[in-house]
Amino acid sequence: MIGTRRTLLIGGAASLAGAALSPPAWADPAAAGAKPAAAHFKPPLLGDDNAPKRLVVWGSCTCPFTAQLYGLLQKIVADMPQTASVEWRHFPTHAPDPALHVAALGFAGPHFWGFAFRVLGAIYAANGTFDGLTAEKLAAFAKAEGGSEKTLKAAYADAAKWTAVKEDLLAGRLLGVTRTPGLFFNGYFMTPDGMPLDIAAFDKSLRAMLKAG
Amino acid sequence: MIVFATRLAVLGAFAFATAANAAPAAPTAAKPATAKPVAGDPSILSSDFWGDWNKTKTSENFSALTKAVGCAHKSNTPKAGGSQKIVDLAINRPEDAAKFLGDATAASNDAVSANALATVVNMVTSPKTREEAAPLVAPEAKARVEAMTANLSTGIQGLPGIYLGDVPQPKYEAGTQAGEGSGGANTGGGVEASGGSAGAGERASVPAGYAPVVGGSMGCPVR
Repeated sequence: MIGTRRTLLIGGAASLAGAALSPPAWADPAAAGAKPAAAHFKPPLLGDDNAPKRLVVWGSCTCPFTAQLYGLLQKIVADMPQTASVEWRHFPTHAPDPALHVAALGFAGPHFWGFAFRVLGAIYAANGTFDGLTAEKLAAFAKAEGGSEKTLKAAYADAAKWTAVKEDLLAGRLLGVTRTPGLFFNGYFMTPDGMPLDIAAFDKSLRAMLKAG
Repeated sequence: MIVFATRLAVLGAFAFATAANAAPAAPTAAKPATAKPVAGDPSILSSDFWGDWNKTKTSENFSALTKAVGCAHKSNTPKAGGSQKIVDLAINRPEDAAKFLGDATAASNDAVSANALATVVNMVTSPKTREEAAPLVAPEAKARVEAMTANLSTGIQGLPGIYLGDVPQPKYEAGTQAGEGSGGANTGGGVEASGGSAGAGERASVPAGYAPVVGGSMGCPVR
């Protein structure tokens, strides 16, 4: 059930608040008592477990629009930590995507987001080109998040992580996601056509929605 | 502290690069890699996944799942004018939820589809609606639905209730939320008049407080 443990994963806010950054249970199904055959990762969460308003994003690690949305949502969660959180769901769209999602799942808690944001940041900076996401570059990202090439290899070797990505992809397709990012809130599919181009207006509208009763 | 500082710098840089106020140029969709693949290349590592996925999405089971619980037809409706399209996927009537749950459990034939369906069920029905739907489920589907909803209530997948607003607002000490949402006034150009109002017991076509954005949308299309 919802614990009191914080999984606030925004570095600045977490460090200022002195919150414990313990690895969340989803990172280790065995430790969480889940049976391997039924292993299902609890989705990574950006923000507080107890935040009452949860945005859910089906995103792609190689999608610059997903990167753009997370840039916006990261600030919203930082500004409204007691109100909003964001749940990550996998929705691979390009050739290298599945492995990138699996690689990110090799990291727990804030390091999941650290790794994912490094990948998304690289994609955004490269204007959507993923040529630069080489094995060497990913190893460098892993190292920056306290891991190594071994961490990536262990993630790639974990069938449950690949399954988790596939389950999310299937769920996203069933929900009607046809392009990323697919943002959901309270039963509403907010972005069936993708990310609104007027980002400032989108940001304002999302904040107003989260403030509303 | 050094770790925190480093993280702040990294995430801060990311936020800066993609922040709404930074007004970045609209990105283009991702482009295929042109470099020659090498060992450890994520594209190579992903090839088996895509092979498996291609079989899944062309399978009879996928068709059955889509027919049973697929929401894509709702998203395919044309949008009004040039404003952002928003689709309400929630199933609120217990009768509809009963049929949905019966169809969902019948369509699931393996662990992957069962877990995917659990996500879909959690996203479009609330625990309260599922509870009200329970007596209305067809007799032949009752056992399956009970098993599924019991599984959902354990919280294996997500946090039941939170997706559809069933979790009450936690009480924080007075003043702790004073600054939250400041600057978020929904004024200025780029949005339509705020929607979300509906009569008692009705569900609005857009979330309360949200104003659809005008000016188009873009995203990376499904593979």
